[in-house]
Amino acid sequence: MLSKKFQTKTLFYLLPALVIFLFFNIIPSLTSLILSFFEFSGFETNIFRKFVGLKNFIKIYDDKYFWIALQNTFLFVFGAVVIQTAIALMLSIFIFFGNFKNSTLVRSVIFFPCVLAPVSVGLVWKTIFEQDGVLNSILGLDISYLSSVSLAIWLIIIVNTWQWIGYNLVIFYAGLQSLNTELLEAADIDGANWSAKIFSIVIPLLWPTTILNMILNLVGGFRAFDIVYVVTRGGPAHYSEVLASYLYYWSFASGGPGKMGVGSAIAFVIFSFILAIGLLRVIINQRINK
Amino acid sequence: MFNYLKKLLVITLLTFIISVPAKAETVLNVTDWQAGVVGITDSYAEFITNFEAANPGVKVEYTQYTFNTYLEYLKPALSSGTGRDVFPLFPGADFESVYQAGHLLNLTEIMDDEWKSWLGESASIPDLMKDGSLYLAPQDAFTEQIWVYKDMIADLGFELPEFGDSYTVDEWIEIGNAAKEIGLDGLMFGPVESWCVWDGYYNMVQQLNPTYPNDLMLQALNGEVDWDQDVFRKPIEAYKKMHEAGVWRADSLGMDYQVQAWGKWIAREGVGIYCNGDWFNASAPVEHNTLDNPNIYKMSYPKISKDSPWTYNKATGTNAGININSDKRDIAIAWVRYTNSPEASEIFARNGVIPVALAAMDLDLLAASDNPLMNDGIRMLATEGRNTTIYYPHAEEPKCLYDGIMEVFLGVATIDDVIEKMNKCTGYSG
Amino acid sequence: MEKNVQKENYGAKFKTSPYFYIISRIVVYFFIAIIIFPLLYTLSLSLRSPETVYSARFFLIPEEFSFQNYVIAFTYNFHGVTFPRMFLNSVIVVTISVSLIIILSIFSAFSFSHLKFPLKETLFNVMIASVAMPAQVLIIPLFYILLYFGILNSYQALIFAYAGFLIPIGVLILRMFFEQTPKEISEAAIADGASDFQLLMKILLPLAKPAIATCVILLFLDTWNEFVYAMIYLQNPELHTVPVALAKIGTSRYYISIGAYSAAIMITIIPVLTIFAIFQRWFIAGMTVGALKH
Repeated sequence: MLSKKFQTKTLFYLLPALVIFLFFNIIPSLTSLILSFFEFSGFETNIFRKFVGLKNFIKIYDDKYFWIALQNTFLFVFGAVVIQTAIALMLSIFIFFGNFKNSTLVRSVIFFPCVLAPVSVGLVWKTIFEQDGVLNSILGLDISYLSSVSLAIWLIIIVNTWQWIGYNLVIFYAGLQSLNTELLEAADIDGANWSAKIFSIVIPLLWPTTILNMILNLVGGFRAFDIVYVVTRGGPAHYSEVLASYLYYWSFASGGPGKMGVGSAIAFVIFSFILAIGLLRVIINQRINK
Repeated sequence: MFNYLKKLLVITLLTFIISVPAKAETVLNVTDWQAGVVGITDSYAEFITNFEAANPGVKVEYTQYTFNTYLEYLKPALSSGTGRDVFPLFPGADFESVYQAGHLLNLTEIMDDEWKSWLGESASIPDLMKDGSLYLAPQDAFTEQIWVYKDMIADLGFELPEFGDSYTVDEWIEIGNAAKEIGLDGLMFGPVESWCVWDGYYNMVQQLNPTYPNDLMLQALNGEVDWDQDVFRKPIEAYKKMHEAGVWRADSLGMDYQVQAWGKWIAREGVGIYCNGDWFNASAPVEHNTLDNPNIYKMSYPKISKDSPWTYNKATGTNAGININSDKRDIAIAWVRYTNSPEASEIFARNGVIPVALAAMDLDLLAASDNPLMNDGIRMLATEGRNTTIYYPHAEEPKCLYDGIMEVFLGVATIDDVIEKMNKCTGYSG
Repeated sequence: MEKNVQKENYGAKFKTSPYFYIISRIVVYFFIAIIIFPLLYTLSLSLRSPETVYSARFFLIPEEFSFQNYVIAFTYNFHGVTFPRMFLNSVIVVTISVSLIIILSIFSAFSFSHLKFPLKETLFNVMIASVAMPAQVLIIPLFYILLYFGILNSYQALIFAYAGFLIPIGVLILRMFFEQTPKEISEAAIADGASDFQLLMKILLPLAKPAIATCVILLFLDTWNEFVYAMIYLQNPELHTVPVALAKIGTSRYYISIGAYSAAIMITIIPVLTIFAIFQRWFIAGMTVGALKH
């Protein structure tokens, strides 16, 4: 910590970013949170005309598809935060310590899907998952994955993980490259075997990077919309909706209910979850620092 | 590093200089959701050329969105008062909302007699009217149908129904079974698009409707009648029967219509395509749609039984509304008027789109184009039968219906569950 | 080259066992196969002739090679706006957004990591939480705000919209990195009389190259493929970006065969690959600086 007390010059560092953040993020977000107490289709010139109090929240509480979307979101976030991060961690360690001749190429290949537009990724995977698509041909089966109530969300998780592993991999790799090598060198001298080195030294040292990846995946998981929309459109019959796509359905879908207030209520729920997790983080940090 | 940052800063500041230049002439902004629909896009290209030539100093800017993203544009635009001068709307719930919000110009008041004469009866289509006045100008008309490949039907040993008639549910099951034996689907079905499900449902209800022409479906959606009666049950039973018999593949439940179902039908993976319509007259595979080889047959939705009345889903497609806040109102009115003129109708027809302003056209001439599907489309629009409306002003009730039917397909709900849910959803109180 | 490879992958010099060697190969190659397959599949789809688009040996080898799909994709235009123009739009928006966000993130992350001000942690948490808000929710309010500032329907609309919700990510990453910089270095600099500004520019920033590189990559990804705001706030077809084009093609009511669509995807990938290849070297160079500090 440089300064012990608040100095006005701090503002110069913070202000530009803060102003933009305020106008283009906070104010719209707050507005939409407030809008969750109103009912509007989105066409009205005065969207604040019809105050309905908690009606939107009651509506989603009573809506069985909301709970399905919530459950799917948790599954999806779990998949992203735990499974995706773990696989990326494992891959980064293997590549880093595995003496690959072309590690750059390997990393680039794995990273590559990240630069593809989610719309494209979704459509291609949709072709693969079709009943008469590649997957069934390889496995010799005739299952309809996309119309399966229980499988649909896992398809989305698979596609999402496929696309974004490289993202985490890059961050992990950067973390590995900035590792303090002294501990590893010492362990080498001591003759420790590879599993001890990896599990007792590397992974603990990578903890901040792991946390970073988990946060990024967590936040991305709650936001994820494109993949769901393209691969299943939340189907069949809303069984693979996640909160973000269900929100879209209520607000913008052609042939949907067209009630944006409900969409805002769903956003409120998302925001609360993340905020709660953030608070948890602060509390945990404070406990650790004691 | 610092130099690099300086450069970045300069570039960033430069963006403020890059901006869309203001135009000196009057620009009429027109939009729709028909991105990718060849017939409409080509027709509009010609309209724009002609209109700009006839109105010097006016430029028409035509922006297209896709069917699925149109509302994402339209809602913020109308809400903030920056909506385009002319914009179409889906009749039904959206029309209701936009009308309530007061964005639309009353067309009945501003239409002159010649314009009205072009439209004929179409100037007073109930779906496009509110409180006795027309607010959306229809441009193109279509019937929603099932299309089949004639050669496949013949190969499977079936006969085509008389023009205007359609197969029954049981006949479709037979066709489906026969098709499966040679590796084809009976029907390509894309129920991820919810209208595909409920439009067929409405059709079946109107077939059974004992009070036709009274719109029993509207009453049901309003919660005025009990859903627990045959007229509402039988269509769900019919759907369930067809699904369980495999008339369409299991994967259909995860398929959308306009990309997957249509795409697979074009690839000849199935005999028929469900919830299709005249909008694709110009997009059908050319080799199956010439005067020498008119290989595609149109028919209405499945009949519940052999003696069900002929029932059609006839409707209008892009229905243009004029923004009441437009500062180019006269030009906007002139434009919309133009799209209903005989000249425009001819352009539509040439591009495979059925113009709604048929009253001003020589129908015999029109029905003799070189596009068989177009000719049949016009014939079907002129065929007598019950009419099903597909645009209701309700937003949530059809959604409940769709969810219910899908759950029956998925096997997670019974028909009784759906009936009960519909009564609850529409607020029917005994 | 030799030297660089060694520096950037010094992990190789630590001894592991043959088992590790084998397992790592199996696992990594397995994942590479899974990653590559759909990409090759797309490539294969794009190279098939439209008639045989549904048949191929081993799913990958087309029965009939044809570039027709590329012709269809290239000539697909939206009211006279073609792919190259849309590329340019994407490049402009992304470059300016990312630059702006990085600059602002550097300065604000510094204030979080090294300066003190009230409600610091609260603000930080709010920042992180805000990123989780799905784009659809902000559409209408943000539309009004962009309209109010008069920048709707221009590049600035997207640039500021992206800046608004991506600055937190930049701050998150850079703050973590700044905080991890050993205190001795900072303290030594202050003892030498360095001001905050000099501390940031001369010491922290050069060390932060890996983090900045990481940031650039992540921000690039989040903006390049962003499609919801691009579709709505850039209403002129001349301003359309690449994801908007792909979305229009992919969900078009006129059937575009999966072959032509795959060709469109391929077309959009190739320039990205080039940018990628150029950028790679800077990224790796940044990595080695991190290793040098020992």
